Amino acid sequence: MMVSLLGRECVMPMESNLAYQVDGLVPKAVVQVQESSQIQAVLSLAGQQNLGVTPWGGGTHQFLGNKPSRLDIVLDMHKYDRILDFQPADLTVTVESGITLDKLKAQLMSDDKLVPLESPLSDVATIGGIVATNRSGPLRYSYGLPRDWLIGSTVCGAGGQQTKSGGKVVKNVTGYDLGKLYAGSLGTLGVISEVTFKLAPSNPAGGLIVGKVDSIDEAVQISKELLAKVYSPQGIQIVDNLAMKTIGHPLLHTGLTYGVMLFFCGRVPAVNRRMRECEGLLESSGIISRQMFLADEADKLLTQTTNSGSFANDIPECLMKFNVSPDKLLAVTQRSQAILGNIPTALLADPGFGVIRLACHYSSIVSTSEFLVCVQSLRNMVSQHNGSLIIERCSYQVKEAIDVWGDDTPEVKVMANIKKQFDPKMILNQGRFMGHL
Amino acid sequence: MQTFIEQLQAIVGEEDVISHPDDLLVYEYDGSVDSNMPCAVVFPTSVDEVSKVLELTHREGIPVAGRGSGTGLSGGAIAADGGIQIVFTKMNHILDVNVENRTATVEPGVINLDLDNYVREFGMRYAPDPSSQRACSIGGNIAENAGGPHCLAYGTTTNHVIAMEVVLEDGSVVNLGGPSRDAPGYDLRGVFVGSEGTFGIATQIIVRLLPLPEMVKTFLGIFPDIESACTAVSAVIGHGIVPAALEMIDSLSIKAVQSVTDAGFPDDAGAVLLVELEGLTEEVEEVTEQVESSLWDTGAKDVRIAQDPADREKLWVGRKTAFGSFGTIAPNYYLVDGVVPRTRLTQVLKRVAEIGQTYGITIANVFHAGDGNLHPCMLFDEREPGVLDRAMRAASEMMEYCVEVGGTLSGEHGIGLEKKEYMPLVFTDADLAEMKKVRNGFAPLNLLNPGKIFPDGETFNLEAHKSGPGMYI
Repeated sequence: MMVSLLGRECVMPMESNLAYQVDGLVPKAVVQVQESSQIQAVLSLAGQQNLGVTPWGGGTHQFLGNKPSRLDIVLDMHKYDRILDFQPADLTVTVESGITLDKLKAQLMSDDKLVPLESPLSDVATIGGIVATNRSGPLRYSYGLPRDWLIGSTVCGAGGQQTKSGGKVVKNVTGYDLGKLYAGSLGTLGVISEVTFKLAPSNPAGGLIVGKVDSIDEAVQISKELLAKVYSPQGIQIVDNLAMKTIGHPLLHTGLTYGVMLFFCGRVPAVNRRMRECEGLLESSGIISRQMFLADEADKLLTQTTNSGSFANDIPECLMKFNVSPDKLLAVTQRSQAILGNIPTALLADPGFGVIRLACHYSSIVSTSEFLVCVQSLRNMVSQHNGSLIIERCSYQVKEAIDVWGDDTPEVKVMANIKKQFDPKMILNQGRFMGHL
Repeated sequence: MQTFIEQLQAIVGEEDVISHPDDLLVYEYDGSVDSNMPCAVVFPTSVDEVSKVLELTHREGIPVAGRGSGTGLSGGAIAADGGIQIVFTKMNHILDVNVENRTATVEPGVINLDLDNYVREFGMRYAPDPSSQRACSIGGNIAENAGGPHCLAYGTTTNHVIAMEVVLEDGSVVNLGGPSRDAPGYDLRGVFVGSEGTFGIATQIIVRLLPLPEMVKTFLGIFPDIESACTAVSAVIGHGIVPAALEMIDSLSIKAVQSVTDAGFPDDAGAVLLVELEGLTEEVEEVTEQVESSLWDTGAKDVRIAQDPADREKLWVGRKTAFGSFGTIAPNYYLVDGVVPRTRLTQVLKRVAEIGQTYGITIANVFHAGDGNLHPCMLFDEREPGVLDRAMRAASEMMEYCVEVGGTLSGEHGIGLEKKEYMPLVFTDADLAEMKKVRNGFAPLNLLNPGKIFPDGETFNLEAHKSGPGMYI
């Protein structure tokens, strides 16, 4: 059916389909598209035939979300990857969604421009996937999230219709900001086909300071002090020993309890001042063991720290993401550690943004059912702190037993109404989102 | 059997419902040229009251328009036929400031500048600063995704709202967003901002605050004409500098401003450019020379730097009182809010001037040059026969031209009533249908601010304001 619709060259051979499985479900067909008309054709057919569709960029984060209720067609977007319109003087760029982040950044850098997005595995992760997952990295404190840079989008809907919102101007209130809705929607409202970003000037300088501390209290306290200063870093990550190993840079501290990683970027004099003052504050706070990295080495460590966000180097049995307000970060981290007890856990926390990731290897300590009890305790605890807990990565067994997004909240009803409007036949990544949408 | 008005009074109290035509007159209009009389206005003081009012209107099928200060420029706060307004002037409290989280929790009736001034006591700022900030409310800012001069560097309202308590069309209360900026789920918070009151009514908002910059430096570039000032804008950005603000004021506007306040704008300037840098001292000092050279190299007659906060304040008072000062030129104005790519500014301003001449309308330009958001301001006396029609046709041509050069209809004022019939210039029927799906997801009966944003072939007849000698308002 797909071959007759799109031509043999667009349809992957059946033996390739296994590589596109999602939570154990293998698609019946994998289609690699290169034109927007092909995306529309596939979705139109899927709508008519009531087939489940999963968009696929670099495939780096297909572990997110609940298990899909069905998977018939994978729409592989990675060949749909052109830069359509780059206007350096206007600080805008429009791209096809299959372009990788690294490829886009390299092109922009040639004109000293930057799209301040970060994603693990940025050489493979596509813009469409990054936007659909709203993925971010250590510099999120300063740069925000992909949705903050998105100014226009073209999306193919569940019926095959192609629609746009926003535009190519950096300030725009013409119509609803649908880009905000699509960002982070995991492809459940439409397939993002084109994206327009506003850009920033590139950063001439970068740096990293890593300080070794003995406790999570100390790590959070020094982070608070740094973030309150005018010379604060552009991003801070608190890591424990296991997470530091995952980052895997040979020059980094080993055998530490906790580390505070301070990331800097910007113009040379400002970066120099920030680094000098921050290091002074670490020293006056008694943080003796410090490392400093500049330029290329700092860039490399930023990339490796960003990559560690999905723990792809050391895939955990369960990767949890907590969202809390920054003032609750210490309490939630401490309580989580207490609840998890002896379960080996790597910690990666962003004290400025309120994001905590815990990567657990539990099976040597507890059974899966015991671990699920822990998860429920964690959920109850974080709820008391007005936060949320998502299971980002886990085994099929855990996914069968738990809603990775947590309990439904009243706004899930609004989400469900919107999903029903956009995808009445529920063909787009059905079941993966909150409320099993 | 209680009448509708009596039911409203039972919810908010008799003194907080207005229904007499003489009292409703003030709420007939907002800052736009449109007007329509609501059948009642209510002043709730709590989310509970808002919820009960919306339960009632939902049951009765009555349209509702939220209203803050009524300063909007696109008709967003104007009631639909047979509709009511919910006015938030009594829900105007700053409930909490959290220094560690850099957030403030506010009610929708809080005035924008009041919030900014309040949080400065804590060493922070609320960055979105529309020119109407002395009067406009946070709730209204959210409805329109308000901007202002400093959104060039810091983003618009949508970048500064973390979470909201919202009452939906049926009176149910939901929380959109979360304690961290990366809350899971669809970004209902994000799509709600700028939805012009058609999705729900925000009753409590958590906003993001920013730290105060270490250094602020404000430049005034004085140019012989608007063309050289536009070239200077591109030159500054071309150096890889994104200032905190980059504003342009033309010669007619300068004369109007100087006639009411001494902003330090030279009367004989063709245009002035206000450039503001903020950040660490090292950052500001490093780019100062580049900014100055950009201004001189593109033909500035003079470049001045504000010497102290009072000097800086004078410049900004000049910029922000520009629209008010137009009353010295003509009693009425109509403002266009088109946005174009920055590199098209010169071309578009030239076309704007041509359109003004064609229609015999005086036009003053005060606008956000840094992000390409124009504000050609047509000045006229609405009592002159035919002038309102000419002004509207001139505005129509300007908006069409903005779209033609790759821009769009509105940068910060919203679509509302004013521009809804122009939406097909930018969006196809399919695009608009997709947007309606979101509205249907939030408000299936379309009772919240109906008749806004989407073209429907219906417009209110524009006429001069219903006031005359002897009428008491």
